[in-house]
Amino acid sequence: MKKYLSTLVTIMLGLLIIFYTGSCKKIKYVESTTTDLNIYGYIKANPDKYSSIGTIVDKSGYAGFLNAYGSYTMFVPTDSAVKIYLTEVNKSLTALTETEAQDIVKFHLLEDTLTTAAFKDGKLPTITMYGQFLTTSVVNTTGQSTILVNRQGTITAANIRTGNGLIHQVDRVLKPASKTIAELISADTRFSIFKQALQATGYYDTINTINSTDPKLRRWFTVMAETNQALADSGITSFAALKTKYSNTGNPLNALDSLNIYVKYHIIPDNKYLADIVSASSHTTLAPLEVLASKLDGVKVLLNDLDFNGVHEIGIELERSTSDLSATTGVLHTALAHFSPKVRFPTAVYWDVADFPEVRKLPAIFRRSNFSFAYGAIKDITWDRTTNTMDYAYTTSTSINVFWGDYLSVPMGNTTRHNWIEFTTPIIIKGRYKVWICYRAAKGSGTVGLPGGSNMPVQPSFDGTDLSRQFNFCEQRPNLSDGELEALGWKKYSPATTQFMTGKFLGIIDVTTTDRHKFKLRSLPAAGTGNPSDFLDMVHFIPINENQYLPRFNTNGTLQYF
Amino acid sequence: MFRRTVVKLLMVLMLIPFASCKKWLDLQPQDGLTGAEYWKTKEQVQAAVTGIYASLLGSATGSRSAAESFFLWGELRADMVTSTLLTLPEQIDVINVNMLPTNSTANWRGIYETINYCNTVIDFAPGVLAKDATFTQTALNRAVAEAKALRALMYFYLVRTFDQVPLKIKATSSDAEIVSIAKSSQDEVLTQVLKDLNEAEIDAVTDYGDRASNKGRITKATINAIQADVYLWQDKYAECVAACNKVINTNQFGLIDGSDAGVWYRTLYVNGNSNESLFELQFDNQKLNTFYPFFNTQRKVIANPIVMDEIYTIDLVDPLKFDIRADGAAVRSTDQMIWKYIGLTNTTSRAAEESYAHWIMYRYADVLLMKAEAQNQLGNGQEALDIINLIRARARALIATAQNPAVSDKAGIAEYILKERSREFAFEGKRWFDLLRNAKRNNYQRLDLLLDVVAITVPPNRQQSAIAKFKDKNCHYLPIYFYELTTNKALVQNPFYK
Repeated sequence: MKKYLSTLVTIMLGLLIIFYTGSCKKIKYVESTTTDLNIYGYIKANPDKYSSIGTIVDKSGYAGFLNAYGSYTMFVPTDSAVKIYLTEVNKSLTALTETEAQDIVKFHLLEDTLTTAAFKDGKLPTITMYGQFLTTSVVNTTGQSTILVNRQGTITAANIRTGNGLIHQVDRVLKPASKTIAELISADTRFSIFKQALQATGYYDTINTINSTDPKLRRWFTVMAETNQALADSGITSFAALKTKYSNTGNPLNALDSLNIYVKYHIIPDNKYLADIVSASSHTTLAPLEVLASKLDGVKVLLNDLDFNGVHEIGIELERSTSDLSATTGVLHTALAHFSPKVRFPTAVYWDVADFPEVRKLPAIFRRSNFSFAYGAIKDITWDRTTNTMDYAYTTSTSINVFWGDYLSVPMGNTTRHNWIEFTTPIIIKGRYKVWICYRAAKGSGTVGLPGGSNMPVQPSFDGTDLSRQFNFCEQRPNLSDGELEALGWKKYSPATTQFMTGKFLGIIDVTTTDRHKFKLRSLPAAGTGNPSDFLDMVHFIPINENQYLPRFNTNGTLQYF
Repeated sequence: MFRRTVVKLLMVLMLIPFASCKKWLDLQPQDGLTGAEYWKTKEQVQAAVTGIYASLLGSATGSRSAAESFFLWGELRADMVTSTLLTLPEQIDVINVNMLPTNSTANWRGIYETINYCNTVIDFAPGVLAKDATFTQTALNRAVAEAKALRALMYFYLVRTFDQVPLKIKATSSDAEIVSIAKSSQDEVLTQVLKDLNEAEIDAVTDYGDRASNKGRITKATINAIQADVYLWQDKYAECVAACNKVINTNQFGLIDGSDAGVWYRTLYVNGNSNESLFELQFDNQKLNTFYPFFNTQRKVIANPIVMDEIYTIDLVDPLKFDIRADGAAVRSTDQMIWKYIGLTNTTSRAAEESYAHWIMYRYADVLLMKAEAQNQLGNGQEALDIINLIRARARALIATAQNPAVSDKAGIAEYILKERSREFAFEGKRWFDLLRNAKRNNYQRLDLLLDVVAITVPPNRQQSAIAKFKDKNCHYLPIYFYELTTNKALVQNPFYK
């Protein structure tokens, strides 16, 4: 008991000492975990540059979250920038309302940390809190290159790191677009004919309406407007001429009217700046199942610059200086030539799968020798990596009568061989096609045509949809006449008499867009170890109303039409 | 009782150290040598000089090896390499003209380490003369010449990469000597570079007596080659030709015969130290280069498809007609692997433990083409064309890459030389410097050369920004790494990266 008592006294004495010393001398404890300033703190700590924007942030009531944990990027206008802005809008700093202040701050703020290294040509990857994208570009004036934001302000100090994000200092206040795409087109006399076409077909209103106040739900549009000059180059000098040329039903509001389709073909239902357009090879438009192909040729952005059946179609250039115009409903680009959906009729594609750019670059191999391509070496063919190579093979054997003497040796199976192989096809024009697979039948064990031995069933698919029939690399065609064969779903695709040279019908496909598509072979579980060398030669896509078994493909590369 | 004994014992024990150790206030480190104890014998001087070369193979402090820096600085921004899925983000930023000062590609630390080794030899080796009687003045001069030449070469790389750099020509051997130095202009640095080279030229060795040293250490010919390169960079063409002629007139170098592509490749690149080479970094099985993982297993960069498609081209009809420098030498065309440092033959790869392909700094073909470039600028177009044709004939270049500029067409020949250099020195760390040298000639008359490069290398959605950035000449030089800016307050960032 005594012991406890003394302990108690000691504690009390100790506490007393602490209280007394505490009251006469304050001990400073560090309460924050870091001394790094947050975005708001940084602005406030530099009143010589940022006092005006500091006032605006205070007024907007956003100071709280700009000084709290988070990851933001803020474009901070300097005092002189704010001064210029206020003169433009003819207001004083004190006269700005809370909403105006909020809009200014929101348009300068992104909920992401983006260094200048993340900037691309065109829009930033993240939308501003205001609900419009900011664009960036680099301009060179008198030998000095600077980053221009929204075509309005130059970044004068970049990538300033603060506790809750990044600051880029800009020399102008950034102003959101206030016009819709329709208003931008109206304002430019170069688009007067195109504007009339938009109005006549009813799409003027579509691109003039902000269809949702929430930017994340808003449907954006991208319009490729044709200038009057572009139309005049194609002999169309007035809206009347354009209407005469296209409007086949007389009522442009009719969705099936060609003028209606023409206009729809110029509208992409998404927010696509030039950088986005060149990043993908094709874009769906409002016109049903019509895609715009795009590519970058040197520094030019071209639409529909394609090779069709060996004929080069010259592309339509989008003018860089007058494109990428932001609007409240999307983006506006300027097309320098007249274009409309091409009416194309389905054409047969006799696709030699063993002829691809990568092998053509190897003159010592192409149609001369064998070669195993490493995974990733062929742009348009991918496969599971169970076997690491894709074997291109060449043969002069008189019993293997493949087209040009070359084929892909694709042993498929569920052991160590390819489980699947996916090809990107050549361009197929939209329409209805019969699909044929052409190979040379072979068996690793057993005899072709007799039961037993190796077995290699494969499920083909087109654009992810399984075709109605499967095939088997070990199966040969029956020995019948062309008519009988076709009725049974076979064909003699090579002039060689051997039954090994097999064409098999896989099903009918509807190709919905004129584009390159995916063709995939997948081995089926019923497979044994497969044939050690399956001879895949060709794939035919033949319009349903055309002759399915001619021409035949000779081993010397010639075609035989009988 | 027991406790008392222990205390006494301890007291006695305490006395022992004082009694036994007389040097109890000796502060010499136990695990190393100090400067005062070093620099006493000629062997130590020799070891210090060898240390400079060793530092080029790999840094003792973990910095990036010089050879890798030379590759990154000389190729990454040019048009012959491209990124893969495994390329580091910061290297992609270099390719995309998106460098920030935090990008470690701009870290020059390893190079300055080498410079400091050079400075140390230059400052301290003369003191050995008094201490080691067997150390001769000639041997000293040779050692200093090697150090000066290497220092010049390092500064030449730095100014071509960073434009303005701090010029440190005194050794940093103690903490007291760490000083903040401001940047010097490119001209000032190059003046020092030429001064070093000219001084080194007098004392440098022409023959060390064995092939490995002749190719792995600085010789007079190497110094002349560096001089030629510096003069060419400075547009001093007559001086460049004179320096090239000094190398040519030694009659010790020649082009390796290219009639058998396999033998040519093995002699020049696999075995190394060939009759064609002037100076190579001597990687060997004790000191591997970092290129095996870089190009092969990790595939940080691969050859740009244009290397085969446009630079070398292919004869689609006759596979026996090919440029020996192309498939199986510079690149493996089936998967675009950079083959020069990976291939043991035209078709088989080295093993990881055989990754010691030398890094060739200068070779005879380089000297010839530098001379051609200078001669062309001096108006001797025919001589330039003769040299190009000599190089092309050796390499069996394809007719598709031949050009026929008129003898008087200075611009046309300059472009032809640039193209031929890209074929001859593919992935040898020279391409970007060649491009920049040609672009900046006559006050950036051929800026378009660089703009064409980024139009190819930068992805479509960044292309326009990259082109606009490259119109700013400060963008052609790397930023100063942020770490250097925080430790040396006297440094000012390259204005483009502010």
